[in-house]
Amino acid sequence: MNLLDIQNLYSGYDKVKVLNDISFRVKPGEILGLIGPNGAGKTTIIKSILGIVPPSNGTIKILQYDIKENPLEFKRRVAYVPEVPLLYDEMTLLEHLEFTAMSHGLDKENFEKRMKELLKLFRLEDKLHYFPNSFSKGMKQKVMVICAFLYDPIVYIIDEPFMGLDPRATMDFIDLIKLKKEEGKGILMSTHILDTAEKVCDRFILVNCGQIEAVGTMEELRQYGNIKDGSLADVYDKLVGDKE
Amino acid sequence: MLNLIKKEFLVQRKYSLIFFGYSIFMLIVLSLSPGGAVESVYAVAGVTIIYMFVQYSCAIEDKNNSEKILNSLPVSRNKIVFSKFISVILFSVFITVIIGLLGELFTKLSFLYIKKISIEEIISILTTAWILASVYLPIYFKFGDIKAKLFNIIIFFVFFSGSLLFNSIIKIFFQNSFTMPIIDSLSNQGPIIIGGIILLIAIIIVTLSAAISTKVYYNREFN
Repeated sequence: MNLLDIQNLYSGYDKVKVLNDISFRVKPGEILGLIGPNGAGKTTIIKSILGIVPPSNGTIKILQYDIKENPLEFKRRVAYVPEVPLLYDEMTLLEHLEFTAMSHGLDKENFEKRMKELLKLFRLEDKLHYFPNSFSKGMKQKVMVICAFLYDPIVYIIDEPFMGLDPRATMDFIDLIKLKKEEGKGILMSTHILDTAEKVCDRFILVNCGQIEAVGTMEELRQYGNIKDGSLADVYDKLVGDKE
Repeated sequence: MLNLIKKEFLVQRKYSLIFFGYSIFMLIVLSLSPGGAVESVYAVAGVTIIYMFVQYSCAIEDKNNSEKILNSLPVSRNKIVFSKFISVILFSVFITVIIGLLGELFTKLSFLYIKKISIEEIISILTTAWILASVYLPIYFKFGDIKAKLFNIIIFFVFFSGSLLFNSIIKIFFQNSFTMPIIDSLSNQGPIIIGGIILLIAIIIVTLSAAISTKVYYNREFN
């Protein structure tokens, strides 16, 4: 069984095609790293999964729920951490969390329990009634992470998660992702931080020019690139770097 | 959808003092103005404040780039559109009550030479504001706030400078052989029935506008 299943996805903006026949799956308890150069189509893949950019062709499913046919059931099962924090300057941290919880139908008891745990983990307990315009970029990113982990989805879509986070918050975030993996959740993580991705991810999907260059575990990628004992950065350089 | 409507009011709460202060300011300035301004004091004040609410609501979404987050939530695009329309309707009723109460207070204190708000004025505030919002919101949902602001200039030009054209259209409408019997029949009705019909027309326009907005927003891509 696959948690996230993407088949023959074509997508883009207006009349500009960006993605060309993208297919991959995220299995239960798996962290899939989405790797590629700037403009490769990583963000478009993520936007297509979230329904922000409607796919022109292909299917995107979470369990049996297709994004086109059953968008609400699909979106109930997915959490998103964007690359750039997207917060209302006019709403406090607490109001953002309440808005997220309400949108996902989280009951009050569970909401308060989860909120307290996450605020403590990311050391934001004393900022509950603050507006985001007084937060640093890292703090804003923590708010996005807390919003995504507030409820209980089965797939996490994480775009450049380490941008702006301090080392401790990065470690806490990685622990959180690993915990979700142990719980059987699926995680699709787009990142340029290859050494961290190599340590955290189970498999990788290398994207370039809107197409998949390679998919597999570290060992499979090494074999594919014909690199013995190379790191992810070496494999990336061999498979994608030359074509950038 | 309740969460979206609540959000609409939360993000604009810091402007509530501006809206309240502006209501008082408009009532004072318009009632003291020479000419016919005193006759339209409630309509001008009400419509201006409601239109400011619509403008701020769209500008805040654009400034915070919030469409991406809204569209990743398990909320349909229809609900995102409807929540905007419902919040405008709720706010317009709320602000009409506020300026009505302010007018009542000023009348009691003999502070200004304005009369109490009438049913006709309430209807003219609501219908004008709703029709303006019905023109603006589909453009916003199709093109976003920055491009919609260009249309905004046209809307204001027509609204404030196009009164002569509007008068001509009204004259043609009233003197038309087809519409004359309808006008005659309506003129025999009480103001509440006429007001009700005008309000009904405004509600139909709002409904059509919401349907168009839903259609254009459904196919929108966010870069």
